[in-house]
Amino acid sequence: MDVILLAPPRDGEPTPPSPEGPRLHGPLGEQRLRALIAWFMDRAQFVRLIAFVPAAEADFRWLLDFLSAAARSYGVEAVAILLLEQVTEDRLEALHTYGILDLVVLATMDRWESASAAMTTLARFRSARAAVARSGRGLSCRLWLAPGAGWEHHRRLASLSRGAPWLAIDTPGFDLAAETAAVPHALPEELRALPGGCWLYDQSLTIDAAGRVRICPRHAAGEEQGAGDLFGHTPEELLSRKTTVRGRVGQTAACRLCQVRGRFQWPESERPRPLPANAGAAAPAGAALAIVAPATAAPAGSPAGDGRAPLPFLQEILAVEGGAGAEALGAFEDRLETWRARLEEWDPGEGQPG
Amino acid sequence: VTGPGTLRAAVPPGARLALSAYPCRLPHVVLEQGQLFFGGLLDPEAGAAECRFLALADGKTPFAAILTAEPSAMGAAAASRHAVWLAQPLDRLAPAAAARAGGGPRCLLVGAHPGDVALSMGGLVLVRGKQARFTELCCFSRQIETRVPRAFASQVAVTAVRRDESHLAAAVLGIDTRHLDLPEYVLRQTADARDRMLLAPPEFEAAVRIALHDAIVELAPDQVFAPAAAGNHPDQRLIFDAIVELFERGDFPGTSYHLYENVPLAVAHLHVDDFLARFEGSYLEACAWYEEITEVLPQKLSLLEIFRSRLDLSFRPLLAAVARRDALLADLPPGSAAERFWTLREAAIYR
Repeated sequence: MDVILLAPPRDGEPTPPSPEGPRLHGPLGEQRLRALIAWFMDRAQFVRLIAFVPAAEADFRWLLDFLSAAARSYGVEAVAILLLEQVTEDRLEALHTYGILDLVVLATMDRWESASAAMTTLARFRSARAAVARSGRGLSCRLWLAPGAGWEHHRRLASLSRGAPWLAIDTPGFDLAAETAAVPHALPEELRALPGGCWLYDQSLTIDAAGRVRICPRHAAGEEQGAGDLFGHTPEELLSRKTTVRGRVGQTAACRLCQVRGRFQWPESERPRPLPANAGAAAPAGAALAIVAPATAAPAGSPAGDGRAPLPFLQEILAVEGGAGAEALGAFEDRLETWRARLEEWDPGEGQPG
Repeated sequence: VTGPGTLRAAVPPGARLALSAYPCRLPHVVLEQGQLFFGGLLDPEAGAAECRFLALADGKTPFAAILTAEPSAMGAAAASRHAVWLAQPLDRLAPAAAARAGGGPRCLLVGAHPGDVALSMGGLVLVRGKQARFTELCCFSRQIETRVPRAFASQVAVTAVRRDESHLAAAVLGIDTRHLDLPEYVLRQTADARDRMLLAPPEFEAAVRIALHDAIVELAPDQVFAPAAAGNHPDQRLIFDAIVELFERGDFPGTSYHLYENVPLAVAHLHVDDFLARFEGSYLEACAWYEEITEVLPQKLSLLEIFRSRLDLSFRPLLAAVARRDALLADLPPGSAAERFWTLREAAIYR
């Protein structure tokens, strides 16, 4: 699970009204985040923390402490996302000192001069530190470069590549600010009825500076409550709400477009390998989500339907919702009984049990 | 060549070496430390004079001014294969397109890859440019294929140069251009993409249909031009199928749907025959029509120079041959050039 921590909005930045209460970048926020990470770890979920670097110095210090401690205590991976103006020697030094070595810099071709200057700063810092931190790992730098207007993309890219061969340049892995209509125009019914949702949404939990769990703007349209509150809901509740929201608006085509456009590839998470063709084929409707093995895809044509494996926590939650949970459990127990009977009658000399 | 005065009389505006023309170095050109690179490959034939000429050839400076600043550039300009010559400066071409935004029918030109529209129906756009508002929609602009893989080492680099070429061609044509940034077929088939891609093929097809549907809703075009998908390239076929489906559904009754002869695949006669065979016995009819482009053929052929990361200049005679073939089919006089289109409609027996 990727936990994406947003930075507090900067001056003049449009943001939803923030309730009075505890902040993410504070002691209570750290406590709740630790509980969330521990909850995932208890369920054998690998966690990555992907944090947007906040502008305020105090928030930045908090982030450094938290990421560093989380990496030491839980073994999570920590990735810091910096805007162009945040690539300064001081910040890089602080991140390096605290052992946060995976850096992502966000830039667009339209702000080429700033991007170039930021990369120069990064190169200078990198060479001065011999690119090795106390953990023994080198600094890993990625530039998420969004296209702009004009016809200078290639020349600028070539210039960057030559100047910084150690830099991995790619299109942005995600764009949290993207806003589109949830239901684009008057789509034909058969296009709208196809299953929606996206891998990024499934694989991540995005938390803003007020502790609210943000959902994708495409999912969130008309959904004022979002997917919950880090300070007010348990992890189970947060994930359950996220799943519920997806179920309600996941039928929109906007999600499907987003998948192929902005979220064609989630940077590191590989698509799970499919199960053998016969695995889970006998799963009853509604129960498939509860019996598919973690980190494996549902086979094509199975009741899981869309070829993506639900995450373990989703399996648990979906299995206990409404009557589906009881049905799933009943069907599962029936199948266990059948297998037990077959095993009792099985003669090993005859090969595999039928 | 005896001097600028001779050249002024000998060449039309916008032609190579015309003093009033605006040479523009191509997107693949990278100049570093007095050397010229084609993407990441050093061009050993390029000399210092050509590098100096290309450094000044920004598409906004007239050749006369370049000659004044760099008198030795004449020979390099004559020989250079890395610049396109424009009749107007680049910064004046885009506003000219914007100024036309007010009048004429709106035409949506759907292309699978960067360059498809310019090379397939650039002649029509050049001929009718002042009578209509053209918007190009490039669907699969996230690219990995190039004719020079060693020059463009990564998918990001290929995408960048193809996007630049598309923008430059659009500016020359005076049209608006948009990119959907869908991944092209070859990219979708890479092992890395198969491991990480989110959408199964049917869902991907649905996404293309939705994107085209959205574009038509947003732009409300009177005419939609899409590839005939001669040669059945998977990406072009996706668009063709989506457009035929939109036509069949009748979601946009005020919109006419046309198919253009997509190059380079339409160069092969058999591919065009296969395309026409799709309509045999169908209740759909593809009604052929032609646009004469004799006057603008040199300009259209010069567009080919822009897409050098994709096509070699040896493709130029083939492009001209297609234009002559279409002129022959249109019963135009010898020496003429044309582009072929088909308009979708219900077959007469069903009307």
